Amino acid sequence: MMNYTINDIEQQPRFVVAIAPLRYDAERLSIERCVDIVSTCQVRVRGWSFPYSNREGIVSGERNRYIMHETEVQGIIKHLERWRMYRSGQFVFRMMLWEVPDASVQEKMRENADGSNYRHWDFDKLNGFVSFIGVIYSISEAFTFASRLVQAVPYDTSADISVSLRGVKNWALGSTNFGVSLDEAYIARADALEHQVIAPLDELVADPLGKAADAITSLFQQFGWMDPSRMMIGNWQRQIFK
Amino acid sequence: MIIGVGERNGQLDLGGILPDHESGYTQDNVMALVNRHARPAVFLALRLIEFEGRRFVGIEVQPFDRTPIICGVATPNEAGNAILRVGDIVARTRDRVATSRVSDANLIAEIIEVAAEKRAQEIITTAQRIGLRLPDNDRTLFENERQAFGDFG
Repeated sequence: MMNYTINDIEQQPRFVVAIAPLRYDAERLSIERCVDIVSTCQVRVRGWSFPYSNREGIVSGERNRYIMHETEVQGIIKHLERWRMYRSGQFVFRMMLWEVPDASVQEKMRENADGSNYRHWDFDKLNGFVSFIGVIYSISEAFTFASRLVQAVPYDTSADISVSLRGVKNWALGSTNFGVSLDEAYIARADALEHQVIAPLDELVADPLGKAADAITSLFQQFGWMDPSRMMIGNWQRQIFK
Repeated sequence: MIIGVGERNGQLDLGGILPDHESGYTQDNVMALVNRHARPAVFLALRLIEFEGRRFVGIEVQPFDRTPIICGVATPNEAGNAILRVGDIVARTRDRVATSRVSDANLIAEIIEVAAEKRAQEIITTAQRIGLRLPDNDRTLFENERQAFGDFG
């Protein structure tokens, strides 16, 4: 297990989210309201919340323009995360991918890839593996959080949502589950893979997982996986959003 | 627009274009004919289309660039009556698939608004090209706000 700290996130493969309305009002929310909104909108579907926070860890940022929270926890997995909730209604989030620092998880995904139908991996050129199921889960959580956020603030315009995987050049999609393998090598050729959408509020609130599926498809395509099945994505979403 | 499709009693007749007529539909011929009357010039693209053994000519009309296209020279029909008069604007109608002279006040207002937006965009682009700094828009304000967080350029 590599010993990363909170300040290492920006140098490692990470999941980044930004959610904002289209109209800027620096004082849309009070600091107290920001605290309440994040805690009431958190998504808890797999033993961890998106975003993670505890009241004691929330601090006010520069000139009281935002609240922020940082998490550095070593449990079964290493969890590094930081987020900000601005008084404008904008929320930004960054998390190191949980599979990055864990050598045993990386080894498991490598073995799984090696045993798959695809025999032409050049492991020497790979930096590591990103769990494709983890991508589905994280993006689904982010869009579910966004659907709650736009109602809690509330937003008075569509939501500008960006989800991205950064620091992933030469990282491949992988699976920790030996029963679930990918047929081909899907490798990121760019450092940052991003999906950005202006989501009308009614569409986002009515179907956050559908919006998430669009984003997941877009990011997988940027890995070179051109035709990920919507049914497959929906099946994994239903594993945690019962 | 598709040349070679007729209409009889509300039914489309996909008769196709006559072989003798087809050779007249070249990019140069059509642009010359249309732009004899249009001010400013219209941008068109012609495509030959085959469908169920018949041939059609598709004419793709590009949206206007800066100002709405206005009739600058009247277009008489065979009887010598003006189909389009100087100053007319034609557009797709809302109620049926057709193109006709604009007489709907709301549609005229919409065309003027589109033209104003295009001109405004042109002014902004020119201003940025010569180094003028415009007031930040909302998106820029959000970008500035999150810049210190990192990862957002």
